[in-house]
Amino acid sequence: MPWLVYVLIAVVLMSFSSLIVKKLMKNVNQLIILFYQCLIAVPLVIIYSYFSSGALITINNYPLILLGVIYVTAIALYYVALSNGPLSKVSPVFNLKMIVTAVLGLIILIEPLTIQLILGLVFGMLGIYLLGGERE
Amino acid sequence: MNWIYYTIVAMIIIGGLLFFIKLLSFNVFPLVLLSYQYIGSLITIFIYLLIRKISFSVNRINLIKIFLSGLLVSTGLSFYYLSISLTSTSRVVPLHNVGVTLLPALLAFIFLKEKITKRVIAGLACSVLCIIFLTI
Repeated sequence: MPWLVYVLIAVVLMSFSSLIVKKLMKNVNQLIILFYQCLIAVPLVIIYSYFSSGALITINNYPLILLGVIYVTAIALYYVALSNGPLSKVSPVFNLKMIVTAVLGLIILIEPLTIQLILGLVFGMLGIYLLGGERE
Repeated sequence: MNWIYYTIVAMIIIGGLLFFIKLLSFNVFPLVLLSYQYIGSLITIFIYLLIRKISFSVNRINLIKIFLSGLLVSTGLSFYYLSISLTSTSRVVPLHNVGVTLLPALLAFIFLKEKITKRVIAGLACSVLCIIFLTI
């Protein structure tokens, strides 16, 4: 099951990246970290894209660059949070982004409000409270 | 400002972004989308740093660490997007989200010596339950 291997690799790589970033924040501005990460990421992802599918970026889809504006804003805020809070708490709270997606699905797509969804939202809120509410 | 507020805002932005990406269903190969995302991010953060007159200088050792973290996160994200292209999101997303919720916390405990209190364990457990309920 290659997809499973890919997901596990993704989890490990991204988790170690967060660890390195957290350690770096003692000495380096978090936005500088983000800048240089993006600088190395751009050519890497273009190469990965080319070798995995032959697909390359084209000028027709340039409005997609706006996604990057929103994405980097979120990651910058996440890094600011990471510079002030513990990784063991910041990272899990940030990864509860699924709550937002679920709520937007309810409001915009008028998805049904199921028991699972309610329980998911309740546990999500509880998780944020438990992780975010404790004094350091 | 407390880290939790920055994290929640970041979570809302990225959750909303992911929702709208899914909603708009770009007919674009995932890694091409990721390339645009990073290009947009690079341009945005570069302009912001110029406006704020933040120095780009970083010592060589820290620069290597930053590039390493950029390599890890971009490669990790690429593997994640590739895994989604191979199978359904209902398989990949929960596994990925549970992994990036728990593994950074474990790494923080081992390498950063962060305290993992009962409250943090309870918060992590609620986060995992949230992910499971929102994705079943």
